[in-house]
Amino acid sequence: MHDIDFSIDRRLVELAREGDGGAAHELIERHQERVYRLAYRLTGQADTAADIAQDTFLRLLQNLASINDGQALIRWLTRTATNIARDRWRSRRDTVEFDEALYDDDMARDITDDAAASAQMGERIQRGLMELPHRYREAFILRHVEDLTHEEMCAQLGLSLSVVKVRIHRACRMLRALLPEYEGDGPDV
Amino acid sequence: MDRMSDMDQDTRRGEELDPVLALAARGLRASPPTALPTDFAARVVQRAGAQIERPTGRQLDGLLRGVGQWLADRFRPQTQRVRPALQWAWVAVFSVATAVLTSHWNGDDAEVVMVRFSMIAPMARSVSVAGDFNDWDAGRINLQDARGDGRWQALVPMEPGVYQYMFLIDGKLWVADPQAVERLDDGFGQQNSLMRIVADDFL
Repeated sequence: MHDIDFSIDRRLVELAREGDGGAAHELIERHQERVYRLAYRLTGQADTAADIAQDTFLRLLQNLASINDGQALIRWLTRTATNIARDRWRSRRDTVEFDEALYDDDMARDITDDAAASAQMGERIQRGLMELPHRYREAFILRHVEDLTHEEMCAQLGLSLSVVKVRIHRACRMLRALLPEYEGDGPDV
Repeated sequence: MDRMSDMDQDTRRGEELDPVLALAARGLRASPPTALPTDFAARVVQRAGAQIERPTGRQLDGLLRGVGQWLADRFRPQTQRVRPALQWAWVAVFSVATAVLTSHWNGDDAEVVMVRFSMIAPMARSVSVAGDFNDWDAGRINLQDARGDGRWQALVPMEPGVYQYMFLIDGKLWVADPQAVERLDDGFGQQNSLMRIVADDFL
């Protein structure tokens, strides 16, 4: 899913580690959209997601010595952004809600532009996703949006394989129940 | 076609995802409705670089030093590179002092010594330092008056060596370091300050 040249990341990490600020800048630019999207899907709030992305990259710049290669960088970014989002969710669970201002109910479903249609559908599903308890939302996103394997999820979340599978299963069941309007819209299989 | 390729992704992991959930996953892969600011990366690097104002000796790693220099390069002000004659009446300079810090780092290539350039100039709007270590480019290392008390400082990573340097106030007034132990004629009728940086290992 990730069309990322890990050799470039590895070189940028090396340069940034040696003190090349331009390399650090490029490294952030290469991954900022992905980290921001992950944070947004986990929190449903654009401002919060931007803060999480910023904190994630600030931590990255302070911990470059722990990044061994490009693939390790991706795992590190995903784990850190997920952890920060979870910490924020725990501390602000009473106030963090889906950013309604970004969702336009009047958006019709007769959309011709694929990108716009995809974005709109993402927001409709995001609304359903926000109904899930955070741990199940997290499980669905990491597995089916970020494409992590079960084993990667175990490592990232610090959970056993059975717990990870249960969470994914329950997340799917809950989200499916929250999206009845998409019955029949699914791809032909 | 896109749907088919996405379905390939959804099923290649050995899990037959419910069509509705496959659709949901695809929708969630779309970008958020609000994009990050275009200068997001620059802001992050700038914020990381701000920590160079509060260095903690050996804990300050190579990245932060480099980020500070990169920021100085990126946001350099427009300043003249030709050195004019000295004009002391332009701004009051109470004292100038430069200190070579004892902390240093052993990098892969060369030892780096942190040098703190410092000047007390309450009326100045900007202070920078230039020397043969940065091709006499006065726009690259800008001192900061972090406390607003007129004490301008910059911490600069430098390799051991002998360097000539001067300060530039408000982009106009070149000032030698009166506390410099050595000076050298600059060829413009003035004298440059001379700095000898010796790594701890050679002391």
